[in-house]
Amino acid sequence: MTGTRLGSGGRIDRGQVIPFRWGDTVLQGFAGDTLASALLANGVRVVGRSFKYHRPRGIFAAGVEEPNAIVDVRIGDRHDANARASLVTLQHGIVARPIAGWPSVTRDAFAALDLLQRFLPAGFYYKTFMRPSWSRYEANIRRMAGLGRASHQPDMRQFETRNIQIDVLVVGAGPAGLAAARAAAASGRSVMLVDENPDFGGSLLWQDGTIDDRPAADWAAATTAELAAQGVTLLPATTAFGYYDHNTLGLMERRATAAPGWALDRLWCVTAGKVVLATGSLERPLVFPHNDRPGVMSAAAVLRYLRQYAVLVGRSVVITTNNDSAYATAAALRLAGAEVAVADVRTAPGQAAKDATALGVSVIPGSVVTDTGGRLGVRWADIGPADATSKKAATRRVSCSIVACSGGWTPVVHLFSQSGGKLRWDAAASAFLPGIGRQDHQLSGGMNGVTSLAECLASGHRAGIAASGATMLAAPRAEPAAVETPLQPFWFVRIPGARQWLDLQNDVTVKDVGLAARENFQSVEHLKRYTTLGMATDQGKTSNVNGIAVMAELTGRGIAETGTTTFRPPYAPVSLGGLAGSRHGLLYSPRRELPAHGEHLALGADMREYGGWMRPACYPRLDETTAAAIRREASAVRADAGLFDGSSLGKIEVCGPDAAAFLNLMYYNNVENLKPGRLRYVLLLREAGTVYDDGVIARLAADRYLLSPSSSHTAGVLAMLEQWRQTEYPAMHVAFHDVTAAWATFVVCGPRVRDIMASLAAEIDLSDAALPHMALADGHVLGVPARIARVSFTGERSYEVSVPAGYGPALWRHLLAQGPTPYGIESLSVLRAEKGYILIGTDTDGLTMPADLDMSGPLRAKKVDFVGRRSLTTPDGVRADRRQFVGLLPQDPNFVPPVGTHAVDASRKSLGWITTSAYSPTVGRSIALAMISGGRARIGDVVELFDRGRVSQAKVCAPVFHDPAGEKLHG
Amino acid sequence: MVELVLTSLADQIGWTDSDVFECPAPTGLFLVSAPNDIAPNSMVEVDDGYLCWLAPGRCLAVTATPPAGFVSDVTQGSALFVVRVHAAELLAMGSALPASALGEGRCAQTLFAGVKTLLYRRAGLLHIHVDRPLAPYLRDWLRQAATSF
Amino acid sequence: MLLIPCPWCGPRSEHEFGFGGEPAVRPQSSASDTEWADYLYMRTNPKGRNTELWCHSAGCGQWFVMERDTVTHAIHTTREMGA
Repeated sequence: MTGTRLGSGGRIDRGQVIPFRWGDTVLQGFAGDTLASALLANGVRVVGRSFKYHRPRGIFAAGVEEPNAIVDVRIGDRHDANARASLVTLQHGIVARPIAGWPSVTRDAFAALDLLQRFLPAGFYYKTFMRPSWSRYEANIRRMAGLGRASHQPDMRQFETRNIQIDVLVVGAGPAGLAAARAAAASGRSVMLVDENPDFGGSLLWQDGTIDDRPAADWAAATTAELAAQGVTLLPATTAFGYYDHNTLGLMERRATAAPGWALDRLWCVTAGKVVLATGSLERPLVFPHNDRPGVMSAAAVLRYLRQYAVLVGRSVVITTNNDSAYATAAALRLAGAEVAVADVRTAPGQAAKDATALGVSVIPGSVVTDTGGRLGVRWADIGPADATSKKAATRRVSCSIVACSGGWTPVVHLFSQSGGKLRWDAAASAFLPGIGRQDHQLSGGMNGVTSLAECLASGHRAGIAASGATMLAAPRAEPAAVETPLQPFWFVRIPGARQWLDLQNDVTVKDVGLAARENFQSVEHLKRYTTLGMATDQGKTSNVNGIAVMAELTGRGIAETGTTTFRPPYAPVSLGGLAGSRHGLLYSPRRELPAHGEHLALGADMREYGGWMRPACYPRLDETTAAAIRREASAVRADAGLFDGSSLGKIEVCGPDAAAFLNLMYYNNVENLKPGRLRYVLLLREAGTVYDDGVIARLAADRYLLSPSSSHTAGVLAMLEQWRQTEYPAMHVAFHDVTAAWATFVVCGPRVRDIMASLAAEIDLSDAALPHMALADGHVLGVPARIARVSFTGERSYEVSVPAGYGPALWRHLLAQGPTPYGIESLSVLRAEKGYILIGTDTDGLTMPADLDMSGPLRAKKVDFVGRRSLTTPDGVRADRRQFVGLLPQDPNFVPPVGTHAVDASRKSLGWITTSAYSPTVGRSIALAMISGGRARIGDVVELFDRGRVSQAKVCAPVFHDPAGEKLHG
Repeated sequence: MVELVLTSLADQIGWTDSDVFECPAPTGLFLVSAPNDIAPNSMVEVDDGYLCWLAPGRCLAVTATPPAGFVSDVTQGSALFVVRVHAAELLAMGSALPASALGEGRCAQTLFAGVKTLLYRRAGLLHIHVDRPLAPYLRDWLRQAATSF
Repeated sequence: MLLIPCPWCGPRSEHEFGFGGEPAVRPQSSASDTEWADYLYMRTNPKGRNTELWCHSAGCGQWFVMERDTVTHAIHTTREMGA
């Protein structure tokens, strides 16, 4: 009744037995099997339950289009929760199990859902399960539906990516692809040949044929060997999943072996001079009532299982078809000893039917299967008139275990469409064929509507020549095809009320399409999304065309008019790990380390990522919480001295006769009147007048400046300067060098800083007269070149000492030995908040302008135009209610409101929000900085704070909480 | 007087003999902005080293002494990795650079392992310049990629 | 993925480039609010052939002009600015 293995034949190696687990049982297969062929050979019928109705499902197809056999597969440490059994190569150690069905796939408690099928049509969840709220039902519905269970273990495998440029990429190694690669290789160009199967040959491996007087399969093997010898890059078991712009394609290779710890998935990013598409075609089902039972299979797949894997799927088979290709299956089954009946929709089936009858196949013209029965697998099929319109039509019941169906062939045009090509419906071929293409490719074989072997070889050969220019080689020859009786389009059986499946994986039936049509979801894009037809992991490979045709008929349109949805990559599911490549774990994102990184680790620093840099957040001592560390460090800076690693701060050298004039055109502040040896705090605006970055500019000489943008904006500032110089001011003589990485910079600050600076034996005059606040000087410290700047971000007297980066660790150790307290970014943030110094991107956002920050002074002093100037006087720039930078003192001095807490007016309308919030050890209470509408006029007022339901009060004040006159800078 | 000791790139990243790359320390690396007639993306030999084109009017001088012009000393700021083995495979794994870009006398700035680098072949070996703060990351990337062979 | 021919470096992967939008002529600071807003935000954005500024950020860092079809993504020309 069920599947068996034949004693001989097939392309399997009976000498290599491979045991494997299926659920709780141990079965056996052979080398060359897929998991699907091995299951069928062992008589396994039910491999899963359908997505919505939990109906038993069996293996339908033999390739990437398989919609039912989604199973959980483990091999060693590899786990695929949703593997397609027809694509899993059988290997030692495979543990496979069904993903649906409880307690088992053959006895599923949720099968009761099928009894409720009238209440579960397409889109039922838009009509039911709505009250009181969807979230009540969601968890249970997800448990009942859904696919395999993902592992919660981290994936420790490495995933490899390869980039390659190739002259000719041939996609598909069936007859057309092999012929194309053969022709292209003869030209001497670099060629790559890709096929999703582990062996090249495509349908040549399971269909009869003779090429150049040899069996087709032998020709395929010989040609493959020749291509290898000619240096063609061969990638079997590789799916070309995406065709992008400019002839770039994505391929996912499933390698047979890889280095330990490396995944078998390998991503290839291919840039091809020319592409040859030879992707073939897939058989689509014939649609009939109860066509979803285990045992209903694609007729071509039945033939492939027989020829390639020596699996006879059943001994009594009914074939229902509308075209000639199913007769090859009928004949092969008969020769293997099966009883075969063919229900052919066509009333005059022609020569193929006559040949089959001569073999003992019973052919019934003008008929179709009108029903099937059997709870856990097909046991009988009713054959009735193809034009039956009622359940009462005369039928005869045939006992069978398999119903093989064939509704025609759908060219695999996915990659062509992804590349921008347009499709056209060809009524004669009953297929969507490639129309106008957009990229540099050649089309050949089944994907271009070619059906006979001889024509496939010829078209592949021509495509290979067109892609490479070779001309000497002769095309491979095959017998011309026998004359075929044309296919008769037959989209579904016209018996009302019958359940006929279109999308097996998502449980979408003809009735669902009817529902969509009645509810006016008639466009093919609506059809897809309303019914979920074609949205499962098989991406509608066996259902899209049938579904489109049904919708076309029900709405009285032609198929051409109904059209298709957009084809998007990937063609078949690809692993996220494969796409991520090396970008996970340690290598998730490029990180920058400070020159003294090792020193910080040695001090036990809590290192965190800030703007791409690993920096110390703080240096907690044993058992110290982060909050306690921050308070200790901040207090130490104010009371004694602190040491901070500022090496990530940007350093851009600007030089040229036009340096001053150019920088003056870029920055908000006047930099032309900055004297050599002096520093100035500056803002850089966007053209929209909003603050992009702040920083410090140092003038080194008449024609030389040193810019110090914030750490996270250095690259952006450099890019902006280059953009303006190149696109707006190309005549100006100025150049920029990013030297951020060349220097290590440490900040020493606090009341005791002078003692620490004295230890540097600096050959630089550090007196206040020579080096006042906001000045810098060059020289040497401890024998190496150095630059010392007096600039402060903490409000304390502060020196930045810079040495070439290689001396960083040594300088850090020397400075640390003088006894200052190392402090990190979090502590710095509290110290600068106490002084009201802004952090770009924290206190400012994409709308903040200088006047909002009360920094209008420089504008009044600046006469020339600069980037963003004009925007400052637009209506939006001068609005009275703009948010302004102010301080807040929460009424409860121990309450630290979260950043983002809104300040609200009496009607709970937001006036703005808190941008910085901290406990200040210096003033002994909580402080906050905020952007509040009309904030400066509200100084002295009390505002209400609102944070996710919690209400409190705070007083608006000036944004400075310690040393407002700045005396400590000079202290 | 105590003088500060220099930490080499090799020490900073913990280079070992089993690594697939070397970390030589050039005597001098300088960013130079000055008019020049170096062809785009090519290298020019000079007395005490060689120059790599970076942009119109800019080059990286791998020389003992700085050339003339607007010069910034980046000897401490640019890390140089020289790949010992599997260079072609590592290049294919790390960048989409066309193979023709690294022919004789050619250099190229491109993304490698996700970061901006300057690449060229010299004495048959692939040279990779990267900002020194990114050196630990590139070391991790190269070490991990090398386990694939 | 676009393969973009940088005028200095030749064809390189799209990842190496930054997009600069349609070039716009910067008005004088005496421009009206409307003229200034047009310069900041209004572009023609045609369906089809368009002129754009691109920067080879991860390569030579140079800005250049590209003629590209916004529908087919075909790149017709790239040239140095001012050329």
